[in-house]
Amino acid sequence: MTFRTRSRAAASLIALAASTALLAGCAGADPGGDDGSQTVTWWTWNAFNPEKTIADFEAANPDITIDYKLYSYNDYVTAIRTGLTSNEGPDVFQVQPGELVTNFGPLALPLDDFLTESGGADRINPEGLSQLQLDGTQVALPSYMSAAGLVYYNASILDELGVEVPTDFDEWKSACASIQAAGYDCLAHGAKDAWVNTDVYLALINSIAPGAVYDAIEGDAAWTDPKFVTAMESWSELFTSGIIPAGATAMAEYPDAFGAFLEKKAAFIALGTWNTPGTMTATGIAVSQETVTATIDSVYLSAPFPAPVAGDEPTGLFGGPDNGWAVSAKTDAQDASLKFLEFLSLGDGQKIQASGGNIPAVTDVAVATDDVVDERQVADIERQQADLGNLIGARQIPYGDLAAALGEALSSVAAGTLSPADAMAQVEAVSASITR
Amino acid sequence: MTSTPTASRGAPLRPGRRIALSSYLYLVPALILVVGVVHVGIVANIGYSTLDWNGISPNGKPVGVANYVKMFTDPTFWVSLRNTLVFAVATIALQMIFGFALAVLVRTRAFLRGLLRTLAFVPVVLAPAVVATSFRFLLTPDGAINGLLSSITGQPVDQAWLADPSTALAAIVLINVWQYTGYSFLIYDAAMGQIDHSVIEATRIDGASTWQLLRHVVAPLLSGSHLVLIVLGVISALKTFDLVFLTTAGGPGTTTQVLTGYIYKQVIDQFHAGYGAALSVALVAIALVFSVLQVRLSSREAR
Amino acid sequence: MFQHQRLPGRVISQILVVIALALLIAPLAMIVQTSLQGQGPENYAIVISTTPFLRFFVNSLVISGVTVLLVLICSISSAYAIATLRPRGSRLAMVLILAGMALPGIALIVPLFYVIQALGLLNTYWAVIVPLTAISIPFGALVATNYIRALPVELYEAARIDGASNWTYFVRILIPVARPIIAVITIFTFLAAWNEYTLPLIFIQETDLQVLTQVPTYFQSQRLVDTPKIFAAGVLISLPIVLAYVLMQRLFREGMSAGAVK
Repeated sequence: MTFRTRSRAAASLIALAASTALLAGCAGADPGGDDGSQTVTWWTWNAFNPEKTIADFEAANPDITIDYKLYSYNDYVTAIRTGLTSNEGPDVFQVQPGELVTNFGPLALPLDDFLTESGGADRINPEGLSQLQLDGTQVALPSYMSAAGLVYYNASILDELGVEVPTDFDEWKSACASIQAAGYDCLAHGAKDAWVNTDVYLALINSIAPGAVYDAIEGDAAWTDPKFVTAMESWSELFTSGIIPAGATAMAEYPDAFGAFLEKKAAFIALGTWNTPGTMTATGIAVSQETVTATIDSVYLSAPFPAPVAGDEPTGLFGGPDNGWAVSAKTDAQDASLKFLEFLSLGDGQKIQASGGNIPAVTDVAVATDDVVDERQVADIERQQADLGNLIGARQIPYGDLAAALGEALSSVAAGTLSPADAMAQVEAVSASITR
Repeated sequence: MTSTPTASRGAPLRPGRRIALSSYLYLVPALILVVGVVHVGIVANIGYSTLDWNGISPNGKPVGVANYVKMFTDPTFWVSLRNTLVFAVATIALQMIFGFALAVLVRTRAFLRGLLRTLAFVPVVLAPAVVATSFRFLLTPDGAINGLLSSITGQPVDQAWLADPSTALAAIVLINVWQYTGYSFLIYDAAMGQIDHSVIEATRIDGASTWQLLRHVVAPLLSGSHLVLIVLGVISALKTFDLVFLTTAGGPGTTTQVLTGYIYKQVIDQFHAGYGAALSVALVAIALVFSVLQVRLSSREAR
Repeated sequence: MFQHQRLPGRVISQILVVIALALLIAPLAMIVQTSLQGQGPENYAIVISTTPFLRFFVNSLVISGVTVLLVLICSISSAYAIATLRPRGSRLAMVLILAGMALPGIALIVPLFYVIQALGLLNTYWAVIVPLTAISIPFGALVATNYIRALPVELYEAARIDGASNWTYFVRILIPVARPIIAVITIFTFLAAWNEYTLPLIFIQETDLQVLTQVPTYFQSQRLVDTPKIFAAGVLISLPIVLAYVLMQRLFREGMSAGAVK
């Protein structure tokens, strides 16, 4: 290309870009201009069956359109900051108990009046409501409930090897011996993810001293107390004893560990009740199937996470709202947004959750058990929903610095670069320094 | 024709006032954009670094230099700084050596050198997410790389490259070298193309071997490229984020945490935008030192 | 340049070339192989048909093209000033421009957001083009300065003796001679713009204006990551640049063999 033709091409390219940009500037117009037709912008990182949710809602409300955006979690947390402060942000957005509620709560519409008017105050699980409050104000409503403290296992492998479901570490180690001898890994675990490491730690400490960790989180107990150190030592044991295979510290829970679990490469995985749809319902398994090459033909069941100390009771469930929906204070479609919120947390949206195998936020809807692939899963699911009425506490640590410190401590101990005692000292140092 | 007296090499020929002004015009477009976007950003960050702010609420609490004090006493800051510098030195050295070697190899008569020239750049083009995820699979204890090593050494190799704190950083360095050697290669390729063949011929006629040719003639002639690659290498190593975040996320523990990853964690996960800004200012300061060094060294070179 | 090697040198060179090729190809092969898992070649069809792929392709093209143009204009002209004209203070200008590389992306986002919102550019191409250009100019200026410095000084002097103004020299002589480095800057800037992920994520909310780097995100949610399709998307996104590079390579080499001086 000679210089002259290049500059001509360049000029036309600039003209094209400029005109497109101008048009684009006009295109970012306000969402609800015409009378009667409103758009609700919905931002999420994790929505269950969004297609059906949107279709059902729009069918029931023909004058409202849902503009749905799905982000990965990291992208969501980055984009939501500027999204909520700009004028073109979301109307309904997702939050999670903990730092998201603390920091984005002030940008959300207070929902207390809406809650009373709609009767939600009586119908929604109290934990679901309380974990989504900020300084006494309701800033979000739960989408569905979930809890950790469980381990899911491949019943087909255990049956085939004649291994019993372990209830403590001693039983687990001997079970793992048989499982590993048959060529499987024992506990698939993505130790790269701080959240799942924290779930396991909470499962350990809630067995050793139920509920004590919540005092430490609030600064009323020292993390260097023997029970917390024992829990950290049990965590280390999971790695040194081979229950968790080598290489776990570089694996992510999703997709690596979960993929290994689905492909029958590992017998156990430490996930919570949110894992039920993807492993126990036919529709959910079909979705999981799309992400792995091996055919999923095992039966999966859940059991309490084994107790670290032989003879102790395993942990109970801990959790709350898996995530929640908030309405932006800057929304220009408030009525439509509240209608959508009602659908999601109180109306047919809850039926969609329940029929999919999730535990709904409202207490008067039961989880469907008609789509399971094995009848043992019916009792399993019913037990999960019942236990959700007696939660020991939350899954998320409400203080970001403390959560980060604990996550780092768990990762270092898992890698063997820090001793459990030193790790707990580090956590205590951070815990003492934060303002609550 | 009388010979025009020339000043030192490269200096302008007695510019008149009019010419000097128009010379500045050539600088204007670049300066407007860079200063208006990046320098404004740097100043803004200096401002934020004096606040205790979560990055979202309209008012942060002014805390003076508290964030900087915190930074100097923060062990994770020093660990991430050290990791970043180790990463920088290792990747720059390896990329330059391999890039240089490739630029030489495509100028031999070896078979398939054309393919090499094209392929060398392909890894550079790939999205960091794809490269990071692929290598995560390749570097597992039962992954393809261990398989290859096992067949070469004849002994089973099951090193968990990214999970083991003693090898994680080295593994990340190697991934980066694999991806970006093509970058150095291209720069060296362009520069080698500028070398006057007569110099090469003369050295050959004097009986120099290829190795002597490379070491005493070619490499020195490319010193401008060396400098460019070092500065670019340092600054891009300082800004490396995706590779580390997507392979190890700074783990295990903090053994692979780099400065940008730590900034991200502080700002996004822990909502400390003020402290994150202070860390950014530290990063900018280091990068600035290298930029100034580069300008000094290269303009001294040109004289 | 190294065509006249003796036998041992030629053998070593050949071995090294083969090793280099193997090391380069192996991971690439693995990427393609992963993209064909699950549903096989259909992954590619699914990626194109179930996402706004073509729309995003056009957007990426426009943004990258305009960015490259602006970067070339700013880099070559500033490099000309710094390397050839050298008015007083040009070294300071060089430091200022280079310092534009120093700020990490995450630190740029927040102040940039306020500026972009104040200018009303949010949700337009310009919200991405302007910052992208600004952070790409330093690299372009750096390599262009290096290249122009290496040109023989007689080139400029001869032109000035012949009565050419600075502008004439710039347009008629410097730019044609600088073709190889223009190619290099084009490739690298286009690449950075094409693969840019964070800026479009934050500054473009409107799906119609989004860019190709968003395509892989259609295949992952928090608990379900469809790796084969993400890889297929990655391969598709990389293909245009590989093609552009192969084409530019010929231009690049033609430019070099045409000769710089005389």
